[in-house]
Amino acid sequence: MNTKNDLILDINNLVVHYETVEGTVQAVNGIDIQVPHKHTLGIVGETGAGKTTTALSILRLIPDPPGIIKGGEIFLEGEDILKISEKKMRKIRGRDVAMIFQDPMTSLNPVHTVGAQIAEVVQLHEGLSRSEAIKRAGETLEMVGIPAERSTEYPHQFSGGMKQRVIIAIALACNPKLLIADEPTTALDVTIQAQALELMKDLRNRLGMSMIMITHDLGIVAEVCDDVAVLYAGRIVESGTVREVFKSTMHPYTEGLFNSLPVINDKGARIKPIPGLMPDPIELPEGCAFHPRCPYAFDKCTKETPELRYFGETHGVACHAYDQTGFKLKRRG
Amino acid sequence: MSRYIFRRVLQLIPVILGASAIIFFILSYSNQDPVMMLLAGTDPTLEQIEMTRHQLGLDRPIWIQFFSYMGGLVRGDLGVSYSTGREVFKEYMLRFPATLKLAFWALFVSVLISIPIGIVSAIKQYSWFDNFGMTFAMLGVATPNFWLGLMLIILFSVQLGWLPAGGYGGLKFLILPAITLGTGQAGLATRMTRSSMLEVIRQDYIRTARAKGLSEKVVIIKHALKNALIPIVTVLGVQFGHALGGAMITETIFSWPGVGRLMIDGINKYDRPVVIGCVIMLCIMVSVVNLAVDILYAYLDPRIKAGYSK
Repeated sequence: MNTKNDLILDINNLVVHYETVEGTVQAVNGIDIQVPHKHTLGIVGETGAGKTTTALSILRLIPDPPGIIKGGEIFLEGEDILKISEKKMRKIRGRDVAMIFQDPMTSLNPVHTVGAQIAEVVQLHEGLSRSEAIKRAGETLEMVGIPAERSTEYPHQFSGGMKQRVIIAIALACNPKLLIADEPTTALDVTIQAQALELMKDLRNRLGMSMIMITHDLGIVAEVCDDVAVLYAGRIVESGTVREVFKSTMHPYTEGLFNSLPVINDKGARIKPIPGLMPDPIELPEGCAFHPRCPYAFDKCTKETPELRYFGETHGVACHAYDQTGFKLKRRG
Repeated sequence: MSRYIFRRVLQLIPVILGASAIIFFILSYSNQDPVMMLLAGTDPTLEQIEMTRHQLGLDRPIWIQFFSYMGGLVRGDLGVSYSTGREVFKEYMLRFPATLKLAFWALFVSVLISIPIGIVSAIKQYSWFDNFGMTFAMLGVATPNFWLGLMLIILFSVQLGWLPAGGYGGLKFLILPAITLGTGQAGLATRMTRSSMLEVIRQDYIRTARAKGLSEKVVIIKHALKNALIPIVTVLGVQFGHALGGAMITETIFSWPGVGRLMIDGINKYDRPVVIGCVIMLCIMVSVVNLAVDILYAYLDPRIKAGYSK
């Protein structure tokens, strides 16, 4: 276990709801996340599992209304950012914690030059003059592999992969301590995905950042992350080091995710999707939210919500099945 | 860019000629006879009537009249007023500065009201301010100018005696007409600002801007407003163009010596050259302002600028 001092980020029992006319969307229902310095945590889950909501909470950028952080604590280097003023929070955004958003096509402002969009952050947080900031913007562009001369161009003059590089440059311009990447490669071609990922990995190592990588791609997790947390219906169902979660999978949902992947060695093998759909976050099923889709579910799963229990130091699983001694998943292989 | 502007200016020519032809025939076939109007009250003989008709060239076949008028038009000659005998173009240019002044200040009032209210209404959607703003906008659109003008006169000129009820002169003559015309314009512009801002503030790049740690003011003004301006500028441009062509009602209420009143006088006297001339000039004003707005787009959005130079 990590001591508090080693942690850049420590989230305790975070609850985030969206209160809409149709009902309360229970997006995040009590999440605990710890990220040690210079570590990379992968957050995995289906669309609607609460990944982006968790990420936006760290920046306190949940759209309000309708989003409300109902409870919990988010410690950034020991300080609970849910308790500080908006003014202080603004100093953290972009300087200590930066975020890379999902869709590069829409995440850049079409009416400002890319150089200006990068320069803006450094000017704001590092108190540089306009001309110094523009110079820094050029250097940052070079760092992500774009010639500095292109800083006077507008986003529409860049391809999707280049735009994502610009977004990475904006995020890294102030050397943040924590970088949150929200499905940074989902909108890109596969070849460009690999490039962008390689770039992020390289820069993370060079700049010594911690990182949260939000994705639904298990391949990316294996490639980039140290630890991983699997999210389902706003709860962590399994967490641990990548090795633990990948090699000795314990939660039925995680097992389902792996079974839905194509197997490269066995071309005849059929993909086994998880039956059913994600539950409606307005009406989550009672007990374990996964029980209607779970092949191992029994009585208790429909009544009580399972807590995360630890097997070993870091490997946590929220599943009642482990009440039964000797329970093992049927995972193939 | 300059090629684009040149092309657009060329496109104005058929528009103006077409509009002139339409208005010419509409007025020619109306059953009001300008000769009778001109000679009204003089108890003319048949010879006098025929003589006047001949002098005005109205005894010629309509096609001849048309080509003669259009021939003058391409040379920049808008004809001669039936009632005053002066050149329409000179008459128009004499009045135009007053109209330009009113149109400009009305635009100023409109921008001053609509943009701040529209922005705050969008940011605080469904709040009491938004409800207030939208009620104001609806009233602005729905209130007829003549009523608003009269109410302002009653309040500020008759009751309080602060401002003149009409006439032309310094700033104090300008205030009431500019508010009358500007508030009417602001209604639509406020709604447009709100809806355009509402769309923009939901965009991903606004979230990116917030994630940079920028203050809400910078996010809204620098990142949102510039993106939201295009529909707003469009509405303001159309309104400004129309006001340049003459705000007939407002100018009449406040005895403002602009081209709107020239046109109204022309209509009342069946002074065909004046009316056609004013309509053509209105058409030119609207077209020129539209062109100016299109050029302005290029400065607001680099993607549009790139499109122009293709």
